[in-house]
Amino acid sequence: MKQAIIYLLLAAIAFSCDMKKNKEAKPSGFLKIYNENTYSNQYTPLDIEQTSDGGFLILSAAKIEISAFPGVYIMKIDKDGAVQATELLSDIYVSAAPNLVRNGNQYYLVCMDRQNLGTYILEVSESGESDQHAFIDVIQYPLSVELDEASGQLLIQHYNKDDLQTLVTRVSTTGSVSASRAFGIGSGGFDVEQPIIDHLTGNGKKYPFLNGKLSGNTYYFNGFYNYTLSLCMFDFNWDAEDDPAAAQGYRDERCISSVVSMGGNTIATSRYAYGDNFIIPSATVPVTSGSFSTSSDMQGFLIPELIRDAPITLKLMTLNGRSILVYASTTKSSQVVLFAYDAVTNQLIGTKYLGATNPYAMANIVQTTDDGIAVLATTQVAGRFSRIAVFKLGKDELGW
Amino acid sequence: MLSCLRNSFIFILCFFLLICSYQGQAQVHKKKQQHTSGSPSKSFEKTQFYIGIRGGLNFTKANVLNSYSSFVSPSNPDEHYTKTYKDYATPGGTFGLEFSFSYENFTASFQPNYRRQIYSYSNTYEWQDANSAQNYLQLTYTQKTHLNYIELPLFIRYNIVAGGFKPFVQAGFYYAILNGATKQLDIEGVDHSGGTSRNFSQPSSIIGADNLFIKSSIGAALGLGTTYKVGNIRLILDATYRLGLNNISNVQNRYSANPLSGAGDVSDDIKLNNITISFGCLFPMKFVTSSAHKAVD
Repeated sequence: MKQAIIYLLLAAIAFSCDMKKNKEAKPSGFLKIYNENTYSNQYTPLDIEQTSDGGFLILSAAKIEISAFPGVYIMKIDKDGAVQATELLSDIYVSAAPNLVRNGNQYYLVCMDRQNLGTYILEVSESGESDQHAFIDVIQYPLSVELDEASGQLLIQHYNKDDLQTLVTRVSTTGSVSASRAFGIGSGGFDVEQPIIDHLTGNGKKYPFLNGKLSGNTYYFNGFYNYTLSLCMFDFNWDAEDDPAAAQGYRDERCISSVVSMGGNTIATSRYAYGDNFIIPSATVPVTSGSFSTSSDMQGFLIPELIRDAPITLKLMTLNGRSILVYASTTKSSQVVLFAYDAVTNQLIGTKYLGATNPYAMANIVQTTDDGIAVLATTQVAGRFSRIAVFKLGKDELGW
Repeated sequence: MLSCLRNSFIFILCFFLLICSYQGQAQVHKKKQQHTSGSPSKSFEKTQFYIGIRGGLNFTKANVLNSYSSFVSPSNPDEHYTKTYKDYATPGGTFGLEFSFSYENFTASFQPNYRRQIYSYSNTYEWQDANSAQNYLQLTYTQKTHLNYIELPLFIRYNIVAGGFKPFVQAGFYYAILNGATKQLDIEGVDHSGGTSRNFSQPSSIIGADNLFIKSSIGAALGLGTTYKVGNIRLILDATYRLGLNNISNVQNRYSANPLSGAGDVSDDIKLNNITISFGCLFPMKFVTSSAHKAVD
């Protein structure tokens, strides 16, 4: 009998392993779909940032009745994806630039006035409450925004309809303009007016408007210049008549779609050309005034599974102590895909496909404090209701 | 997978060692009794070893510990999108073997079997427009989960009366190893858009769901039944209630391995309760040496 009890105990110990492990386990991440039962509401997420409490702030565009331009919707969720706060801003605020700018524990968004098309700067608290900091009527049609880390100011790319110019303006969070530079679009056969308005309303092609700092005093913007959607490098200190350096595209059909500065005149990037998409983990760009190349000079890896002229988000992350370039985009099969490239060797080290049942479109990604990644996406619930979705991927799940 | 096979092997080995030790002890007792009582045949007739086959149906209830959904309502935090389970609704099949050792009115019975346990639940979602009744959509997602287990139950059975017809009660425990799992999704809906209300359904889709469940399932079991002697064999009919004691959902993979999470589906933490009705045939292994070749009973 004693023997029998020992055998049974041994067996029980052997079998209890996965039950014990399961009892102590926590989900490696989550998928949350923020579904409302309203028929006509539509949300298009734009950006996600992690807050100091482990939760996330989400910036979205929301369909509003009063205007063709989308309204601004802010949501705060906790670390497990539960909703803590939501706010649909007043309908005077429309067409938010698709970046939630983080400066320490302060978050800013830039959006447009529905009527006079000027630019608002709003601070968003960690709990998801917004507060208007500035209105700048001379900055019209804001297209993209990035933080100038050295000065703590915002770099805003915007469009001047009257002079047919793209401008990049450096402005404090209270609205004081410290520098601005204009770039002529020209009045060739390609009319940018309607495409820019369609971009802002969300009713047309979404352009990869980008701006930021390359290195030293060299800044860049990806926008319309000299009839084409080009990546332009410039210095605010150059003489007014100095032309920017440019990696030129062709109209809006061939251009750069994402940029991360890798130091000097080296970038990690991606581009699209006539529907095809290319990933380019390392490329050099001209940085001296008037010098130029073409974006098609940058060879890269053709990624045929991506949708035509795919929006691509590129972030340099440190995961498990390794510098990784993470490209996120949308596949033709309506999934979100992540490509991870070693930032040193430029070798592909992993891919991850997200989403099933409903169609998904990538919006943005952010590295989380636990070495994971949060992926923000638009999903069409029941095939028709545009909703916000968040995939939180743990580092075990990524395996990079 | 390898660890599971190893565990299964260890379990089966342990069980047979247990049986052997009982048999060894029984033989020692028999020899002792032969020496002391001098009546070997009476002692011999007190025990019997049966080998048999069994088959039947089982019905499952998912006992929900914690409920989850991938859907979150940003405007109504009180909306939890809980699932509606159907208890003991869909039968699954069971077939296997039985190895029993009887001593007077008590029987130790090992009944390894392969079983499919099925439970189902549904979620209903509605989208409507306060300003237009025409803008209305209702979708019902019905999910049927099939779990295939190799189960190793051990029962102690007590015969209430002796004779050809022997009603009994039994109690025991089981350990089951998941051999495979699938989920079947059926979508039905009512759509008012387009001007006319129309009901529709989409073709079923079936996905593999092995990663949504852990390999082990343990529980206690309680049942009743009867055996009936026909010639030298015994027919057996019993009903057993199984009470799951562990959460079978894989917590770590709750969101990551579920292709249906886009439809709001995330596995709840569940324990399985099950009612199994089975019928079998037991063949005795010990016979009294006589011209009739009668089995010990």
